[in-house]
Amino acid sequence: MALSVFPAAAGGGFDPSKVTLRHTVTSSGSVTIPADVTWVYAVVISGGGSGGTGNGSGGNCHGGGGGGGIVWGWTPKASTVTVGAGGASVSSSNISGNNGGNSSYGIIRSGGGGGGGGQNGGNPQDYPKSSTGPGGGGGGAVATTSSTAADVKQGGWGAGSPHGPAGVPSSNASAALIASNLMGGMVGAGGAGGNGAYQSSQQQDGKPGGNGLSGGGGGGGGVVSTYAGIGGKGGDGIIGGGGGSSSSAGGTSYPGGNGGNGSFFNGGTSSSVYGGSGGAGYLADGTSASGNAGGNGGNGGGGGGGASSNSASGAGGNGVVYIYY
Amino acid sequence: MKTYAVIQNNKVVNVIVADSKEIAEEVTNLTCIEYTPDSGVGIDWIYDGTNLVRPVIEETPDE
Repeated sequence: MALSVFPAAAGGGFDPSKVTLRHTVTSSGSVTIPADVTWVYAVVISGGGSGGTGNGSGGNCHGGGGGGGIVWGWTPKASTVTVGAGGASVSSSNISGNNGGNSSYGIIRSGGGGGGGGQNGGNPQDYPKSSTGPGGGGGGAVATTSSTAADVKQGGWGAGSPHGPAGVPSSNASAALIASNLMGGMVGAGGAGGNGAYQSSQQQDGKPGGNGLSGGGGGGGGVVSTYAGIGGKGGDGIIGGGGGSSSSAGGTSYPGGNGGNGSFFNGGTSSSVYGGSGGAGYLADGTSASGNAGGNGGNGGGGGGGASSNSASGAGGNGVVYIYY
Repeated sequence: MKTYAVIQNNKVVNVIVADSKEIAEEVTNLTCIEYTPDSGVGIDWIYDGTNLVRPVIEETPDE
């Protein structure tokens, strides 16, 4: 008797009562599927993006990384699994975070989350749309200590087919418009990254990453003269995006953004620190920021938090692949 | 568990986790180079035959 029959449920849907989780794969390699099983059901999660980081002059606040993409469905069995790594942490001046690595099994592929902005927020990895997992976009940054409206950077695209909307471009907008009207990342299959912020006469918070299956990274808080603002919160989703970083101005300190929450785990929190916290992964909580350093994304694709003052950004969480039959 | 940069045409096209270089290359059918997670290595880096090198990115001037 066969261990599974394809499709296992009417209409080709996933019926958990008909299949069992057989493999939880956290490292690339081989899997052995019985000879009499031809199709399996897989949940494929890629690596989260890492946060961006700024220079040591104290004003550069950078975006969090997007959550790794997640895709599920039926596939002919395959003998190997590729598990994407989380985007590596960065610690040089004004460097964008790294995109997470792609994961794949059979015909199912998911794209890595976008790295947080050193300039613009990163876009998720771009597999062919028909097989792409929608990773979240990285958050935007505020690029210089003497920020102007032109220095505010948009968040990366949310992925999917069609692409979700990006954080709203801000380089041609007036400061007042940026401060009062522009939204952060928007809801999508992969949430877009939030914008950095600019306002010359009041608190200026980074915009939150968009919510989605995979949350976008939060934007960095702004710094102009005596005004600053909190980092944007990472977007929520099955997998959370990383929070943006922040700074201080006028004697007031503003915290980094919290990591986005996931369906099963929580993002880290950034109370009284400048670093953005890591987003929740599918397997673990994101870690909380420490000082100027960003928190790491939770394993299972969580996005890493942005960093301030040349500190290390949070790394993205590694991916994971589940195989059912 | 280690992290590997997957190389194609001297460029990092993916970053993966695997237990060994042999496994990483068997799964991807491409050359894989180990890196440490704190090295900052990422997709689109260049492999010069010896080292992984960050690409030079020309920042686009704001309009």
